[in-house]
Amino acid sequence: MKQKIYIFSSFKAKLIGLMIGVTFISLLVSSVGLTVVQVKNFRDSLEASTLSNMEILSFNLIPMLVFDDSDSAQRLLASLKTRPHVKEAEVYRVDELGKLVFVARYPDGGVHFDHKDIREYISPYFVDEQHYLTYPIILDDDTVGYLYVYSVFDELGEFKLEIIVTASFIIVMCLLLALIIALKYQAILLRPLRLLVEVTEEISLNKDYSLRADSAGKDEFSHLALGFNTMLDEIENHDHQQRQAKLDIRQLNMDLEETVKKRTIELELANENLLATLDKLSQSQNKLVEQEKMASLGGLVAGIAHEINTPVGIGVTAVSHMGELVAQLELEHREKTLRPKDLERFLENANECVNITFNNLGRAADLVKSFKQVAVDQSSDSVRVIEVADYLHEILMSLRPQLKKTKHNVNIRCAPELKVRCNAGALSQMLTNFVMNSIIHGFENIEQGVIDISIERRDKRIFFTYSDDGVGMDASALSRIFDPFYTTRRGTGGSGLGAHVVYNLVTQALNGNIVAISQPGEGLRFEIDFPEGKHYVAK
Amino acid sequence: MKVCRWRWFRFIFFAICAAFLCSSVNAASNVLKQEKLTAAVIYQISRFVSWPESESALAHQDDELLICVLGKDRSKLLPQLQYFTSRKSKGRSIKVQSLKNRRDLLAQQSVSGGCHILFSMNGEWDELSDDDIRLLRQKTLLIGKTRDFLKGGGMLALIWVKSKINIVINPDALEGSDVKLESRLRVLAKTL
Repeated sequence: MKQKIYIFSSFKAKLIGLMIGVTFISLLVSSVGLTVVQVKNFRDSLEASTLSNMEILSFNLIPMLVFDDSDSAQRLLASLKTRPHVKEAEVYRVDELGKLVFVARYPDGGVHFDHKDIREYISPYFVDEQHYLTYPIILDDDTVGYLYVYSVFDELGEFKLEIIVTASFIIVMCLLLALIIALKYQAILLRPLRLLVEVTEEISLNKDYSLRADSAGKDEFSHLALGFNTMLDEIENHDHQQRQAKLDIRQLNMDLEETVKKRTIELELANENLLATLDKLSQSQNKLVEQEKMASLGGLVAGIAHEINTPVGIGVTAVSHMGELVAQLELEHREKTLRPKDLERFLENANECVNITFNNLGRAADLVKSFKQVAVDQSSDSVRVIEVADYLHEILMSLRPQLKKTKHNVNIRCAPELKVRCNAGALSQMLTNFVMNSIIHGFENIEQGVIDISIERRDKRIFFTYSDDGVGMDASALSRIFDPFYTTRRGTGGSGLGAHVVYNLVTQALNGNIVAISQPGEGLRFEIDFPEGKHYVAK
Repeated sequence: MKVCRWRWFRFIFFAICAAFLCSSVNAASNVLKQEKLTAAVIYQISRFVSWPESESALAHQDDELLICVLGKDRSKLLPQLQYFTSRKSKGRSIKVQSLKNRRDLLAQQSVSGGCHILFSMNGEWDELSDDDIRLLRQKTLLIGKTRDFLKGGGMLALIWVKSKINIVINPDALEGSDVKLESRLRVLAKTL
């Protein structure tokens, strides 16, 4: 791998390089400028000399052209021998038609060149050392001919070489001089800087911020050293403060670690307490939910007991009346006062009593049967196949004690043949809670409400919809309807667990979803869906 | 036979007449060319001559250069010279005048500075006395056609040699005159 070598890596080298560079550029520019000017002047002087000679020559050529004396013109051109740089010359006459007519040339006897038009060289034309010039020969404002001269100025090349050699020599000498001066002066110039660098290296190596640079003198370096020393003062002060701060931080860290340890222990304890409390709370909530279910069941029991009481009481009364009739009959039979008419009346009354008793006991038996199934389902989590329509009617039958006190109507829309395998107790508990909520909360101050219950199967899911046309609830209450212990009738019998129990039954026991929809004055609607049949998995 | 002779005689006669006519025409043509060239040379010479300004009526730039022809102009030089009156010599207009004899010449010389160039035809020059010539050459360039003209006091002669004009000068006559020929013209001229 190649490694770059930086010639100007040090300030000393840069300074020397700068001086040499500036000197070289200055000398080069001035030398080139002077060379160009000198060459131009020299060339101008050569051209001026040529022009002067050609002017004289042209003046003398005029009568020769006018009188068409080519011999004289040839003799006159021969005088150009005295000018060795003239390599070729030609004289032309302008005839009456304006055409150029060759008159004479120098050197005599040479080959006459065919030019395109020598008048192209009326403006002097230089190519290196070759010079082309055509001079018009004028008499009384009439151009009578042209003198064309081709010269080669060898001395111009020599002059260029000489001036370039001289300039190069001067440049080299000046550069050497500049190098010597730069080498000598840089040591003096850079001494304060070198001392400053030594101090910085010493500080960097030993971290001794008590060192100071030499700031004697009045130049820029002494100002730099002063500034550097001031900076060192601040660094030393800052270093001291930093060390102190480090000590403080270390002490603080130690204290903090101790505090953290203490706090951690306290937090662990608090955490354990919280966990225990949370566990207790969870247990309490479950207990409350269970109590709510049991309370609901108790209410159901009380209602059923009350409902059974009437037919049983009638039955008892009928049986009691029957007993009295039997005793009367027995007495009349023993006293031999029994008449056929009395027997017929007895039989008629007995038959009526039996019918009454039979009917009322049958009614009580139906109630008990319905209650028995509902109570069993509600008190257990058994999963079984139910005929939905019958089961809903049984649940409503168990709620009859509460419903019969009101004028509310319950409509069930369900296919008679619909059978569903599910947690029947959850369904029973859910419907019981919905109906009780409607009676207690939804139909408050409403004499005759309507409850609609519909249940159907779609795509192996059961869709259960319960709605009433009660008072409904606002968005705030609706958003909290499934929260535990949320009630609008706290202190008047509401536990706030009814809807929460329903939510848990739907989402956990039935493995389904529940949505509550309501607006104030427009009733309340629950939409529930859960899987049925073999897709149902009880949690 | 007689008829044939007559025809032959007539053919020879016409041939002689035709030859004579051709030579005459050719001679006339040559004379015309010579006079044209002579006129051109006179004009060109005028461009290399300087006259004394105070005495030759050329004090002002708009003064005309007067070229006079002395003697009978048999070869019709005057029309050829007239051609150059449309040109200028050293910025001056050119005027040509014919002088028949000595009397006309002297009359011309006495008024308005006289001729600047006098071209003498053969014959009339001999009528002039030495005093007349001495007076004339003070301010007039005297040009002739022969060496005898120069010997008779003329300053410059245009002598035909092999269909070319040679300029021959009389240095003595030029030395004694205020009319100066430029040196570059003298280079071309031959000396008597």
